[in-house]
Amino acid sequence: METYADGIFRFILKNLTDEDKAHDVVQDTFEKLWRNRKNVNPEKVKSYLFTTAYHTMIDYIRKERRSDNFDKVREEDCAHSCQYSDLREVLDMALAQLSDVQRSVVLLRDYEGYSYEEIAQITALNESQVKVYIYRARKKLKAIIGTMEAVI
Amino acid sequence: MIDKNNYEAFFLDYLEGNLSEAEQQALYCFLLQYPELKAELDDMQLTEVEQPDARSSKQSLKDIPFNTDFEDFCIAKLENDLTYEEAGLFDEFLLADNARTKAYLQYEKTKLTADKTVVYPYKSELKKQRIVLFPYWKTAVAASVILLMAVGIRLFNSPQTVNRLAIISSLPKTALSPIENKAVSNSLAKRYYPYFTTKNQLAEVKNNSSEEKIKRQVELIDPAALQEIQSELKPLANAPVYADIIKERKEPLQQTPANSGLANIGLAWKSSIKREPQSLLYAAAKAGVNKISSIVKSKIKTRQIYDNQIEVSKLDAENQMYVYSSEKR
Repeated sequence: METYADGIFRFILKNLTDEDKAHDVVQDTFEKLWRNRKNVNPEKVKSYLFTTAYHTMIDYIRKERRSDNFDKVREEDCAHSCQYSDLREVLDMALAQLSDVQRSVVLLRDYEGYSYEEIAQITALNESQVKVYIYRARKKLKAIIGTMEAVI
Repeated sequence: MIDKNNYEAFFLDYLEGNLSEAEQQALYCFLLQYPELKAELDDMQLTEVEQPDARSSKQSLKDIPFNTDFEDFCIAKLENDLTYEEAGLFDEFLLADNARTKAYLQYEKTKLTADKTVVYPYKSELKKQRIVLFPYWKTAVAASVILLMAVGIRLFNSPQTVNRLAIISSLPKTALSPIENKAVSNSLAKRYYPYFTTKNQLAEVKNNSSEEKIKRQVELIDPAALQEIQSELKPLANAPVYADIIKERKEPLQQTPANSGLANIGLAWKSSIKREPQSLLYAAAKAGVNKISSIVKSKIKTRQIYDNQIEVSKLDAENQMYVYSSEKR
């Protein structure tokens, strides 16, 4: 359970780039798990947790966008990150420029090693859509990284 | 309805052949409105990786479009989507040109790795929350009990309550008959009515009997009023106790029939033995005798006797020199 909490926290933190918000999402996720504990298959707890965390995060992003705070934060983070030359930070900045779905599917793929099918279940997409989103995200990331490396 | 927020889903459905004719028409109209998105649609065309024939020759493998779909093959290699044979051929294709290798390495940089040093810092809260949610009602009950105890102790130990209890305990303890008690409490209640805020509080004060009610009463009464009550009640402390009054009253009544023969047959009321004066006429007669006695300056002993013949009580003066009484004398 503790390992899942770490994984979910990293996944959400990369998406939201805000520790407090990521903390809230993790709390909500485990609270929902506890409420529905009788209906959750113990073998699929991890998948349930990531699915719940993903949808909670999407709700959070939509709510934030309604209040027009989220995009401003993203721009500020981007401007801040542009000052660094480390590849990890460049990747973070490039990741921030992806759409929410693209970023989520790539993170689930790379961080947790989920298959297309599992990612499709978590994000409520079909496998083809997941594959297309990942391919497009890779191309975008490669383009952004190439541009930034050229600048640096 | 297709718009800029959902066109990607429409593009995917279009590519998979899941759109109806009407939806396809809507998609074409949309592309006419936004021609820049046509390139995006083309970009979304999935590369159909041809399945290599087991019997295929080297010539047929060369037909795989590595050059035209190079980027898709790079990503497919990165995602382990290539078959073993495809992967081998693509590796050969990459090694043949440094530019291709460099381009592929750029894709490898897009592979994200989780920073394991980033951990969720509040794991204990997750455990705690799971434990707390279940026995919530028990905690609520315990909290209520503690709260009530705290409030009770606070009220009981408050300086005002202590002062009021001290005043009450210093009041003289006077035992009154039920009638007297009621009379006193009524008069006090009437007198100190302004000190009580409501009629209900006044009624509680009137009907108090238990210790708890007294305590509540103490809290309701203003300390200044208590001082006045104290001064009113102090004189009562010197009054004879009700029990003593009853004892005094009972003693002569018990003596009267004790030596009387009539008492033995239930006719004590007819006895001529001296009894407790009860008649107003007797008192008037005695007062008259006493007056005469003072005039003649000689003490006259009197007694009440019962005349059986005429069935009346008479005042009999033992000193027959001065006073005669009725027909008998």
